[in-house]
Amino acid sequence: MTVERHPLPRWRYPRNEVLRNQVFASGRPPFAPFPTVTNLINANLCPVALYHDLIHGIENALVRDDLRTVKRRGELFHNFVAYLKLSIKNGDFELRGDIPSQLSSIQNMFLSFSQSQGFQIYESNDIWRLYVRPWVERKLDNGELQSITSDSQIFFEISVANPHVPFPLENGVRNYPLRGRIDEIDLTQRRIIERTIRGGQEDSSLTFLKDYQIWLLWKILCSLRAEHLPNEWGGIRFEDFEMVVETPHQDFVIFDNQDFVNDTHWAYAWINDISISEVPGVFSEVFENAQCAPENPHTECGHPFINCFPRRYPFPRCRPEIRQTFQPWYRLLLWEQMWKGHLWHYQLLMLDRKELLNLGIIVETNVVSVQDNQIELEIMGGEANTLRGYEYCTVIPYGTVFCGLKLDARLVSTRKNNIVLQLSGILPTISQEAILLLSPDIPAPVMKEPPIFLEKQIQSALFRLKHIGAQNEERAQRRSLLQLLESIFGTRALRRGRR
Amino acid sequence: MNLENMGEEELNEKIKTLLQIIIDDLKNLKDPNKAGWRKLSDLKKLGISEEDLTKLQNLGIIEKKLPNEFRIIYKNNEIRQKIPMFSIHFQQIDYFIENLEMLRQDSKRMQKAKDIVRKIVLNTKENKKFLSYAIAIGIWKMLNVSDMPAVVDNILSAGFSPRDWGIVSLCSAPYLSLELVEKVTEVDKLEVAFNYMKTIGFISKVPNLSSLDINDISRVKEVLRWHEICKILDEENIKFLGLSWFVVFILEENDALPSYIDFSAKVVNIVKNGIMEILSAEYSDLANNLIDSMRVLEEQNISWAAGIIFLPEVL
Repeated sequence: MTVERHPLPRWRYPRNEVLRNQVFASGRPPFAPFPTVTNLINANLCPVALYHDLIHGIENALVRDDLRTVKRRGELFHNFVAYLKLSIKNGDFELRGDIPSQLSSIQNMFLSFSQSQGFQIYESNDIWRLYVRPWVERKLDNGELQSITSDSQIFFEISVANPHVPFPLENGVRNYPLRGRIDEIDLTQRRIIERTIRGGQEDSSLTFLKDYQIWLLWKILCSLRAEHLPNEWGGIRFEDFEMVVETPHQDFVIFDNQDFVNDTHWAYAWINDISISEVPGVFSEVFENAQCAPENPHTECGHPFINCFPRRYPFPRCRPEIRQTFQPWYRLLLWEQMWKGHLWHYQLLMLDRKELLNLGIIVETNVVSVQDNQIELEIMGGEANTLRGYEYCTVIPYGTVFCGLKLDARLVSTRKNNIVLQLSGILPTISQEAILLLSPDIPAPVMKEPPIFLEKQIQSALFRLKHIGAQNEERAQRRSLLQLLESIFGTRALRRGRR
Repeated sequence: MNLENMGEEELNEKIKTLLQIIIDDLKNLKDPNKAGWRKLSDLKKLGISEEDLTKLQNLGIIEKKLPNEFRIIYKNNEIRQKIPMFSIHFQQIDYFIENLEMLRQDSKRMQKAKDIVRKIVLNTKENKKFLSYAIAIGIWKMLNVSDMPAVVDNILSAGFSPRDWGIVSLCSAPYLSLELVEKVTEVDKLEVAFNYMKTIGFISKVPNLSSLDINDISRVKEVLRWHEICKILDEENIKFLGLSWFVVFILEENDALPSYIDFSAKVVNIVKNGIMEILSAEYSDLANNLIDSMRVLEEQNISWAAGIIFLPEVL
């Protein structure tokens, strides 16, 4: 539960001139961030987790093991479930025989799929045993996989965002911006699904904060007006949809909950204050409200003995000076992200189509063809060379900027008005599915999302640098980086060589 | 023998209690060799019986020393593997042992900070001169750590090259600080304030305060629109800023600022409480008043003021 904080009187949205790039970007942004669902989950977990997220660029508070391994495995699980379901829907894969033989054919499919994704056989077997098999067994037992037909309307990895998501507050509502990505939307079964590899066989309760996560995503979806949704989705009442969290071993149905509403108001207050509040001492309030201590560490959080209570080294001796010097930089780097990236999200969702085109934020295209992972687009009202500098971009081949399939793409070639993009991180069947649903007369906006991940990396690199050290002087003297830090930030006289 | 095989949930609870005793002792910075030992009579009060201890002894999990004191054998890896469900407890124990020295240092610094702040509060109450000098030194410190940001066009039109501006503006800090402090109290020379602090043992040496030509000072003031800044900041702002910076400066000079953020957060509170006591005002009111003044400066298009007038960051 989020640490209580007085709800904000209002969210600070960018003014018109800021939205239209008429204000020179410098210093503290005159608007609050455009938060992600992950930001809110971190805020719910602990103010310090949110602080690490915003100030140190470390966002995965709820991953306790090796981040890269967990992420790769999680992605494989997600992708395979999507691949399997879409293969059944498209008729590329047929479930034959009894359940054991269906299970066996799905296992073969998984093993070849995981190898195509660069996984070694031993790791694929592990992932099958730990996550995929229990999930597939359950879904075969309850007939869910068998019930998929060519008419099933299932969508994966749909990005949703709204600058004005309303949350009840006393007798009225408070609007906040929010963005996130939904693992699966099943229009046929009328449910949205959040999937995770966390949660064991024995766990009777839900994986930590996944209920809050899916609730937030559902709130975004429910807040969107018909014109913000893909054309075919008009008239769907997402308020009536079921929210489901799937772990490999169990499914949990989540219900609307007043506690989530309170948590959300408090979370936004923390996000605002950590990011742009002028009130001195906000950061010390964050640490005063820390949800754990070394003698009482949080059992679900990945930060305790890594980021919150790191190893304390006596060398370099100038650590207080390093800390004081670095401290203002973190927030400045966050502000840079806000000016470059968060403002872009506000613009995308708050300006109309014409203004977005005029500002060069989007380029409208028609889909010409799709083959494997390559998509050919025709640029409307311009030549392909107007895309100079757009080597990497984001394409929405289905849906809108508020709710749609958002893919990273790389420009492969250009020909007059046409461009060919290589779509990344997506499997042929999935991309085919996404494209098949696309009506050729719907313009697909192509955009270039500012690379704010670089600032995040600088934040986390500074944070790591702040904590490096050596246990004794001899070791410290052997490490050139520590000597360099002493020479830059230390107050002792420098000596070189043996003298 | 494995505890899980024995199915002794209750015994697990006793192990947890014994581990927590070690953690609590270490948290209180007790020497690792002395941490965790408890007499049977004390353990009984925590619900651990002689029979429990015998069971744990048979499992090789606890050690005993005379006279009749027990603790978990926490250093042994085999034992750690025998009770894997307590890995987080062992992680906590390792954390405190590995960081003991640094925790002790920061704890000492925090105590030192507490003592220094107490002394400052007492001095301000007993001696009016002290408060004046403290505010003057604090404002000087604030200007001294500032990068003296200003509009480049104004710097150039005042006849400074960017390089000269960096040097001259910083050298003007003593003069600018005295002018600002004038609104609150009379301090003729900053050297006098520093010497006074040295005499009463708050600092060990007087910093080098470079002198500057009167013409240079007035050009710096013009570029910064210093006169307007002085006009807009009220008495409370100046006292608040000056004292905040003075306290942090003195803590820095006396090596009383902790190395790590958890202790720093505690020092921030000590500083806040000290300032509230001296100024007899709520910290939030002082802060909000300062924010209001900064907004006025921004409205007057003195956008660089936030880079000159700011509170110290201890975290």
